[in-house]
Amino acid sequence: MHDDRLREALARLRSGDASAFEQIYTELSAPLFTVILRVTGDREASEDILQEVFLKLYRAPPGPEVRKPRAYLFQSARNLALDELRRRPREADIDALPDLPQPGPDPAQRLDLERAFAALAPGERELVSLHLNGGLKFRELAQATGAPLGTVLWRYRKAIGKLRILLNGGSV
Amino acid sequence: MKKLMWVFFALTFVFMLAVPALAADSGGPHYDVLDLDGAPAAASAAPNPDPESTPAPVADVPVDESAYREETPAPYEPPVRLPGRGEIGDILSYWEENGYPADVSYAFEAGGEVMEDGTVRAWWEIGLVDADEGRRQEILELVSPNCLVEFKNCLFTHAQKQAAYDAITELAVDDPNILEVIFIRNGDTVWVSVPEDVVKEYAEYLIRDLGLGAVVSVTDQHSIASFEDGLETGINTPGGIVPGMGTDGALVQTTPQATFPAAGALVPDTPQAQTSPIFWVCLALAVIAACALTVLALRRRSVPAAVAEDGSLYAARAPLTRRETERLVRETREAPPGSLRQELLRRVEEDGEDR
Repeated sequence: MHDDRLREALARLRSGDASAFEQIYTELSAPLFTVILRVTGDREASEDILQEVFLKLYRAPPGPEVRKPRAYLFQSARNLALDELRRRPREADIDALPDLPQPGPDPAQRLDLERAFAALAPGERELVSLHLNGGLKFRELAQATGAPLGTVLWRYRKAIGKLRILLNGGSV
Repeated sequence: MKKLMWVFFALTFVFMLAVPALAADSGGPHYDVLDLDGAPAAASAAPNPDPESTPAPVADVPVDESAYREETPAPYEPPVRLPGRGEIGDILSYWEENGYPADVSYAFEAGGEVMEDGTVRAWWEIGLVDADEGRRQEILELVSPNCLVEFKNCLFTHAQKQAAYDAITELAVDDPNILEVIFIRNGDTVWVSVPEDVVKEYAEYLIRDLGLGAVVSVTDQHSIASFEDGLETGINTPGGIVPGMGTDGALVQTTPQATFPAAGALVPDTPQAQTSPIFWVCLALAVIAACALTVLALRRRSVPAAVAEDGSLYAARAPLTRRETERLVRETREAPPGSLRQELLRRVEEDGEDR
């Protein structure tokens, strides 16, 4: 769902059209859930966060002053996911594989991907997932994270490089 | 195949014979020496504009050394300039240091002339984005009256081009496919040169995925070579950022592909280079061999062998490229469970009732 359609759906939601909310949920819940899941690595917490994101959206849908509502939604989800990470105890079981998206058609490769993903730093997971699963542009990522565009690009490239090395059997 | 090879060798031989002959007819090729701003200075073989004041040396004529007297050079007199509110060069320096105004794309010294009264009049070109007559007047008021300013309509501001250049040069640090990034001062785009087979892919990546837009022009390395062909820009220096020649910056990667001729090859001043066709044949064959090897190396993707339990070998998965890794991440997404949707809709309905 691109910004134009989302803006239109939000306008309908503001005027009380419940079907607009269902439309937004249908189209954006999967990418939002994937991003949250990849940042937190915890399925249960991710479900709670996704619910919170959509409840907030329903109770106070962003107005027309929000020029990029898609980026706005993903940024809200990201902030809640980071809050969740901060709330967690520091001592985590590093050997445990986080609860990440389930394997798809090529189970071995996808399992490898999730293992590789788990090896990334939280900030790297966030950038990669927001860009590739959330569809946010690098400029939007720079705004969301408060980092300069060049830094975002550099971090993203580094993270993808790490993923690639891990997927090809190397170590970082 | 053999016939083709013979035709190729015959053509190469004819070409090699023709080049030195043509070079000899014209007294050798001449290359303009350009200053940093791209304004061509007098070519080495150009006629002397003032033969009386600076007589051209005459070669191979016996000289009576006792009669030789060194001329006292005339004292240097700086060019006379009319008083103005600001030299455009100063304004340009100010912009370079403090950032260009939001609507300025570039300022470029296109040349100059000495007037009859000794006044030097410089020609400047200033590129503006969406500027009206009022804005042009504003800029004209800043510059000295002894400048001729020509305004050009541009699509992108200097800041946009600089941002694109910075972003791509940063990417180029660990991307060997980005061969050159050239930021031409009075150009409307930042030129990015990549191997021919990935031009479309990189155009989509840089322009659409990175959101850099039409300020970036992606092309294969041969186009860039023809663009700067014959100019001793120094952009064939591997791994360096080279300002000058009307460029605000150029990054050239170390690449196994022979994109540019070596600097020496531009000036065939050695007698051997002019007379020996073998040199040209060898050069042509070396270039062709290098290109062929590069193409083979780029296209080859080795598939590692894995050992099965029974000891037999089978082809394992080929190493993933960066693009494939990105695609894999993009394609792995997961929808939340259906129960979450029901729970959410129930809470939303409760909310609606509370309202």
